[in-house]
Parts: sequence; C-alpha cells; structure tokens
Amino acid sequence: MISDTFRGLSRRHEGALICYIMGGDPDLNETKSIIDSLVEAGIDILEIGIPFSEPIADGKTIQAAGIRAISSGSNWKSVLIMISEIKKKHKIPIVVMTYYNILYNPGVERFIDFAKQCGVDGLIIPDLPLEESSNVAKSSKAKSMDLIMMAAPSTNQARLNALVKSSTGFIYLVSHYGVTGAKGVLSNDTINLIRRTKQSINGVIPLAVGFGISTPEQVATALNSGADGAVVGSALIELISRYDNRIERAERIIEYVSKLKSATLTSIRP
Amino acid sequence: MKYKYPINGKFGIYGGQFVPEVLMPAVHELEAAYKKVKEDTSFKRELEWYLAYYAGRPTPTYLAKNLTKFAGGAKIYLKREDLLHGGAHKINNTLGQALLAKYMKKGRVIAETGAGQHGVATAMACAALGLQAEVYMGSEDIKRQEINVYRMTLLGAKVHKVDSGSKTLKDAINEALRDWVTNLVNTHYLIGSVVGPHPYPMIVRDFQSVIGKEIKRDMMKIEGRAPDAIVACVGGGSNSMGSFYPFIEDQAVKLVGVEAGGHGNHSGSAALLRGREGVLHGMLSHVLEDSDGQIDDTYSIAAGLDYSAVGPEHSYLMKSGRVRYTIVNDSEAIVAFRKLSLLEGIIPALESSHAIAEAIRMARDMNEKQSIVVTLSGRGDKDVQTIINRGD
Ligand SMILES: Cc1ncc(COP(=O)(O)O)c(C=O)c1O
Repeated sequence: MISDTFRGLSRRHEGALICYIMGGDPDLNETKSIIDSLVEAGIDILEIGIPFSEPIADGKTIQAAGIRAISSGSNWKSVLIMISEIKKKHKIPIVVMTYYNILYNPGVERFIDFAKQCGVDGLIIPDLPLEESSNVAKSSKAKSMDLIMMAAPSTNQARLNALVKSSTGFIYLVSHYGVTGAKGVLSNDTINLIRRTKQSINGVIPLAVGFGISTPEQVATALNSGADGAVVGSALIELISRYDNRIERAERIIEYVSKLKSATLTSIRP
Repeated sequence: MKYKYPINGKFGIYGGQFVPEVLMPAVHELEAAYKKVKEDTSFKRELEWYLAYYAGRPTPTYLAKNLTKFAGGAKIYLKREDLLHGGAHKINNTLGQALLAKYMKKGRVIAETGAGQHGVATAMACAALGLQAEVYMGSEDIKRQEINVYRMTLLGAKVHKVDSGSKTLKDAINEALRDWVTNLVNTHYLIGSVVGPHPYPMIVRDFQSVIGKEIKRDMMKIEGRAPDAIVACVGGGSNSMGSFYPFIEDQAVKLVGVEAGGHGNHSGSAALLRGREGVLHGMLSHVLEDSDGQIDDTYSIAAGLDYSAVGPEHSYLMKSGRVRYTIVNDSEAIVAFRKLSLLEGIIPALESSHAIAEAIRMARDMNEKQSIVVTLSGRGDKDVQTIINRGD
C-alpha cells in the first residue's frame, strides 16, 4: 500500500506529505478528529506514534506529547484499535512509530499480528537498527507489513546499501545529527545529505526526509533536493497543542497542512 | 568451563545495541578504539599510573574482625573501594573511559548521574586528564543531592538540569543519549555502569574488574585460597560485575548480587528479581515496567541503586544460575549501615550497606573456616543527612 502511494504520487509528479502525530494526545477521541482534519487537508501518509516513557530519539515537543498521551491512558492496544476505526473511514496508508520495548512487552509477533488486523501498513522503530531487526523483519514480512528503516548523516555507503536492501515501503532519512524538533531552515549539510542519499539509493526505494521540517519552504527544498517525501511532526504537534476548541483546531490544522501539501506539487514548487 | 561473553555484543540473548541508526557508527567506533587500547601497553601503563597514584589503588581487603564476631560464622572481609579518591568504585571506570576518550581524541565528555557519585567521579577524571565534562542530572536528584552538584561545579564540570519524565536517573540517561546523538563527532558518552548498548557493559565491567582481581590476589595471600563467597550490591551492576568477573569460571566461589527492595511490598528497584525482560537505554535486559511496557519509576533509600533496569550480563548470569540474586530492604540496609559504623568505625554507603546486610545473613550459616568478601563500594558520608532525616 505504501509503495503504491509513492508510485501514484510520482506519476502525478507530486511528493508525499507524511504527517506525524501522537496517538492519544490529548486523548484518542481527539486524535480521531485531528486525523479527519489531516486527511481533509490532503496528507498522503499518516504516521501515528504509540507513546513510550523513554523516547530517546525525540525532542521536547514529542516528549511532551507522549507524556500527555500516556496520562490520557493511551497504550499500544488502544492506539491500534483506534487505527482500525480510522481505516474504516479513510483509505490513507498508516505507519506506526514507536520504540522497541512497546513491541517487546506484548511480544513482537503478537504486536505485529494485531497491528496488521487493525490495518497498519508499516512500522518505524527508531531504536531498532539493522543489526537487531531480524526478528521484527521476519514477523513483518510474514504479515506483509512494511518495516521502514532509518538512515542518518552518520550512515556510510555500505550501511546504506544494507538498509536499502532490508527496508520496505520507504527509507526514512534523519535530516541532521539530533533529535526530533522543528527547525527554521534546512542546512546545506542536510541538502547535500539528501542529494547524496538519493543518488546512492538509485531509485530502488522511495526516500522520505524527517526531523526538523516544519514549513512549506522546507518541504519544497527537501523534495527539490531529491526526496520523494517529507515528514512533518513536531511543528504540527505544537500547533495541535495550542487549541482546545475542536472547530478552531480543525481550521488551523487544515490551513497549515494544506500549505505543506501544496509545497509537494511539483508544478507550483518554488 | 570457559566464560567469554559478550559474543557478538550479547550475553546469551541479553545486551545488544538498541540505539538509533545515527549512533551505530559511534558504538562501532568505540568498540574498535577499545579493542585497540586494550592491547596498547602505553594506555595500560598510563591507566595503572592514574589508578595507583591518583585514585589510590590497590585498596585493602580488610578482615572485619568485629563484624565477623558479631555475625558468628564465616570470616567477613571488606573490599575497601570506599577508600578510593571520590569515595567510591566509580573512579575505576571514569579514569578508564576518560583516558579512552583522550586516546579517541574526543575532547568533550558527557555523563549521566543519579545521586551524583558518577557525575563527581567523571568530573574528577576529566579534570585530571584535561577534558571538558558535562553532566546530566534529573531536577529531582539535583534537589536531593545539592552537595554533589556543587562538587561537580568546583571540579569544573557543567551540570545540566533534566526536567523530562520522572526527572531522575533514567531521564538523565535519556538526555545524555540525546546529547550524544547531536554531538557524537567530538563527544564521548561516559556511561556510569555496566548498562547501555554494547560495548559499554563490557568496557565498564573490564575497568571495574580490577576489584575482583585484587580480591583474588589478596585472598590467595591471606587465606591461601579463593573466598567461599563474594557479595556485592547491584544498581546498574558495575561494582558487582567487577567483583564477580574474575571468579565466574571458579564454580567453588558463590557469587551473590543484592538488589534494593525499598520499603518492601514490591517497591524498590530490583529489576532482576521483580522485573521483566525488556529494552531500555540500548540494551535488552531486565526492566521494571507496567503492563503496557512503560518504564516504572523506582525507589530505594540508596540513590545509587535507584534505577529501573540492570546490566545485561547480570540478566545472563541470573538465567544461567551462576550468580544468586537477592533483595535487601531499606530498613535492613540501615541496620547494617549502623552496625558497620559502630563495630568497625567504617561508615558505608547505603548502597554497600545492602551487601553488608546480606553478608551478615550468609555468614551465620557458614563456619569460621569459610570466608566471605563483601565489596564495600563506597563510603557513607554522603548518606549521613539521609539517615538524620529519617530520624530512626
Ligand atoms: C557507592 C555506590 N555503590 C554502588 C552503586 C551502584 O552502582 P553499580 O551497581 O553500577 O555498582 C553506586 C551508584 O551510584 C554507588 O555510588
């Protein structure tokens, strides 16, 4: 499903807008209404976090979202059940992002079975590098679940080749040395990193860039540098957290996310 | 039976490298650098020099005659790590890793600290070796351990307050990992116990093994043979791993690790005996968690034992049955703290007091020809205020 989405977009000369939110922030009912707005605004892939108490790859914004989600009672099961409800309503591909202990606790196979039943299309596990991934890869493969591997600025060519071989759906490129969190502009280092990575991947698998992307300009720059998709998380979560009123929040999400999506359309990309 | 773990970064199924991709080259680089210095005579000589003249090694293996008489059974020896510079075993590891950082040409060192003991030991080693130290510490711990915060500052280290999560040790480790991800090119993460991703559990064990090697040598000299048992407290597990490691192949030596039971009633921080297998801070090990996989906050009167996980090698040694693990509660540790102070004139760290309590229990069921060595991992000056505040 995820690769079909990228294929369709590429045919239309569009990039993918991938939006990340935390499942259960501020609670699961609100998450559902937030997702309605994201879909209405035209996002291509939805990334939903299952909160973990020790999110080592995340900056302040997503840490805070995770704490709100945990205190609202959100856990792996309730987030996956919510996803099954979303899937009845929207056809959007859904990727779950969480830390390995959240899968390890119920058991990798049991988690992936249930995720598949709920309609999850892919998994991103930031603390599961290639060397530790064989167990999860096996269970994912058995259920035709995509396992999206991450690449980073420190990844050399040999590792990248191995990541490309084992990743399914897309490769998630971490844009800089650091944790998640909105940043002003994409640095030249990041632009070069995207170019270099895109070249090395050589069209074998789509490339999405994340960490620090928050503006339509950054989305356009990432795509112009060769990425097939851009992930926006912290900035969106920050915006969501500013509104208690559903209607106002929906308006603001749609306004912001539509602009991000416009930046993925090649024809009008600056 | 030969013991040669870790194999491919694992102790049986435990250990591993559960870290973000961005850190993988850094842990590989660290492993390669460590392999190199391990064979490097100039590194070894320099470390030995610092351990001897700066830290004060070797430490005595002291026959505690009064405590032995009180317990009324086996002879109790104390391995006096409390006499080291800084007052705890932590300096064995911080000197080793700081020197390693220097050989790796990393001028900046970061560390986490709970009670502040590892932070202080890191600050000392970095000052001595001319490195810049930055220490992450939870804001709750900063409140509880003001003096250690000030000591670190005096020693030239910068202390970063951590306000995330439960604002304690596990959150300080999270924040140190986030710093490392951001600054890994010029920064060494000097982890304080046998925890974290491979190769840390191995490196810290090796640097702390000087404790066990000296116990072995001293007991041969004093008793003409190895002790019947070695007892040490287990927080992350470094003083115990360092004490046990040289004896693992000698099945005649009983090895006993003591976890903290807190108030009793399933409080405490006994990750091995009361936790489940899980993944935290880069390792597969035993962790204290809730039914959803969220990591629990822990409690022990001994701040240095107050951690939700434990080193992966301990998980392996428990599973294989080579080491016996047990739990001592706050109240039993305090009794041992007072006993050792009165009987021997030695105020032990509350962490080490957990091991003393177990050694007294064990000695009673053994005879006077047998001997137990307890690793006295630190001195208790830092804990006097805690004891005063309890008012018992
Ligand atoms: C004196 C003392 N003993 C023991 C410990 C526990 O650590 P470990 O289990 O790594 O030896 C600490 C930790 O701060 C300590 O300060």
